[in-house]
Amino acid sequence: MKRRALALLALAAAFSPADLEAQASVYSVLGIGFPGRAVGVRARSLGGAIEALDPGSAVNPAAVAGFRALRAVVTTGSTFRRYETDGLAVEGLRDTRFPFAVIGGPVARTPVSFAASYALYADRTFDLQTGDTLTLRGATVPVGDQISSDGAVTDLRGALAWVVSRSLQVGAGVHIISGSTREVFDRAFGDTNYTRVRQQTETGFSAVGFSAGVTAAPTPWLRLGAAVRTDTRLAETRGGLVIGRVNLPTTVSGGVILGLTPTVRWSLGVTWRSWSTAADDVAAHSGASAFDTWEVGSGIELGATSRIPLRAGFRYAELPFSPTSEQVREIDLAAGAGVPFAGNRAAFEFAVERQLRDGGGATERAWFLSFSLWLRP
Amino acid sequence: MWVSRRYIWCGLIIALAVACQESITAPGACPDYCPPSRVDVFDSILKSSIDRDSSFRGYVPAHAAEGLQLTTQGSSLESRAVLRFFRFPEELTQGVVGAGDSIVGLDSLRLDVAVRRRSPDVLGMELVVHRLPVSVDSQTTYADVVPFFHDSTIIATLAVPDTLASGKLSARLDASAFPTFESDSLRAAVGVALRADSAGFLELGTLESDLPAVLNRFVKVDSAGGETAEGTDARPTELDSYVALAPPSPGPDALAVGGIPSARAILRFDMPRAIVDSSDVVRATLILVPDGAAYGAPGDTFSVRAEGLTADFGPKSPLVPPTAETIALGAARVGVGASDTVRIDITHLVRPWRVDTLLARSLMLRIVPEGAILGEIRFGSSRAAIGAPAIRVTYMPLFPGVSQ
Repeated sequence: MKRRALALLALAAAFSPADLEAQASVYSVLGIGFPGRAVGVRARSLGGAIEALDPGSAVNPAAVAGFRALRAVVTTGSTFRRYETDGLAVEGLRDTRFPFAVIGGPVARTPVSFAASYALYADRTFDLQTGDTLTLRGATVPVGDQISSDGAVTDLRGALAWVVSRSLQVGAGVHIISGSTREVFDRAFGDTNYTRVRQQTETGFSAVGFSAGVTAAPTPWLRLGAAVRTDTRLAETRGGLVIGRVNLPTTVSGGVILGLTPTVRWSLGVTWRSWSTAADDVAAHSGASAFDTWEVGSGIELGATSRIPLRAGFRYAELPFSPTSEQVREIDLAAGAGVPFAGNRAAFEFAVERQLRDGGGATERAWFLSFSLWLRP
Repeated sequence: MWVSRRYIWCGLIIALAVACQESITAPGACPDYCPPSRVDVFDSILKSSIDRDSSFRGYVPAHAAEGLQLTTQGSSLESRAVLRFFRFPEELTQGVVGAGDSIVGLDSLRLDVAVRRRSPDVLGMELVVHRLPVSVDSQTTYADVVPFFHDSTIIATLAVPDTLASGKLSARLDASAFPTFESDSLRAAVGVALRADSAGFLELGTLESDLPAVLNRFVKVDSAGGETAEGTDARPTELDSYVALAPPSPGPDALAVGGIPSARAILRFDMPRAIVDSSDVVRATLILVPDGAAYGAPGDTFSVRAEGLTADFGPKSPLVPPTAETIALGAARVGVGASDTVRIDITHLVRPWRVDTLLARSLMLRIVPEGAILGEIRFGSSRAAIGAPAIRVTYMPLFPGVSQ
């Protein structure tokens, strides 16, 4: 009992609303931000291959049926990254956020399960410093600018799944896309006759989305899942005024888990998003290009039924926004494991990802360490 | 596999500790990897944004000033100090030497004056002390006292050491210096003129600056044993003022600032809302064109200050109290005789207009120290065909929805 209380306390401390944001990237300044992933640590360590089948992710509402008992999961992630753009090399960047949380379970005496989750839709956190010179009153004046944005577009999902049979589940979800960013512009002049300026504004985001999905287990060693999601246009508001709208994509996901042996599972997942529908809006907003994206992930889990399963995965993803006509691509190499404790009423999971992003005139290399704690009260 | 709970909790603690770190500040790779919002800086000279300007005189009269500025004889604004001392009592009061004894007769007097500042490069300065009638008051004019400044009324001369920048000077006066001392009910008044090898100025302290002139009295008293002894007491000034030749009256289209009694000018601004309300003003400069050369003591300089108003009530508008950050701002130095355009930085006064809409969008011009110096300058007003005041503003438009 004492251990459970301590674990819940740690969970509550970690789940600070002020920090519900995700990792930054050099690509965070493009479009509506760097796209987030509504996946848990287990799915991350498998390259995202089980997204469409994992109740601990928020991709397929039918997967919520996988919650056999009430369970809460909170995830923390730390990024250590560097990037290069056009001769500029930046190293030593790091940040930590809480990008994903979910709570779900079965509804007693019904074939229905539910889940509520928080996930990142797009990260808009960055802090950039630039220098320039201006000609003011006939003199050259050096200026130093600091432009920062802190916040994200978030995705709150409520989902219900119906267990049609032991081998078939269907589900539907409603998504509330919201969030805000605080943008600060700070300019210091090299000439003290000019006053330092700090301008601050907040931008809000709102949209809704709907998702539906199905999971099936035709044989004991094969599970299949598919989901589709569509969102309304994302409204961008500032000072109570709508300053822009951006089309959000339709998302189609699918996945398969194959039991190669009783303790070895192989998985494959594919996701497609129609981000090109946002091309006009994004071009008008930021001048960036928008592309449809494909994501393909594959992973293998060893000792799936043992106390400490080991996981490894590979993921190829295309990013939707680029400052050039060249689409940005990402390759992730992942590994992870999980450790149950407290009599299987809690588990600690972790994943390590090596992320390689290239394109749009930039190269980014990152280590992403994610940890999750799930509890079954 | 058995895993120690200790290791699990250590892992959780490490995970939470890692969650506390952040370092995301990086140089921007513009334009590709910078936010799309460009922040431009604009610079405009607003020539018609100042109106309903006017000047008023009488803020600090000469007798209430912190200093008395004397100029050398022959200066265009020649000035003289007028000092009248409090009445001496008929008997020495308690607490002084000889208190309680009867005064047998006046022995001598001593005049103490304090020098606040002077022309640093003018040699051979002398303060010439003249006897004045005790009827002088705050209404006395330069013309009123001129008849009393001749050689026959000189009662002392104080040499000002060339090395003295500031400090006290004293002069011994004979008992005969004030022949009407008894009939004037033990009161005395003096006038002080400045002589030097070349044109210059010297400033005396006053009661307002805690450096008043003092007249010391040395008397013979009848001691208790029937023998004569010495006693002394002193009186500060009850009137310390100065009078000067007046400069020509300003024209109808001029804004006078400074002089005695001091004048101030009020400027009212009607700037475009796009600049004041929807921009960040990074620099604002008030441009004032003098309507002729600045008046004042030879070789002197003075400061013209622009100050904000908490409310615009016309000439009696209260000034915004300066803070430690603004005390040194909003001023320009003017040399006597100069007629160059005066530029005053008023950024710190204009910027609050956006966030505090109740603040009067008006400024008051005055000189510092007010009333204590002869310095006066006239600027062209908004009614002047040439030389109207203007404001040069460098500003950055705000992001839509900016909250601060």
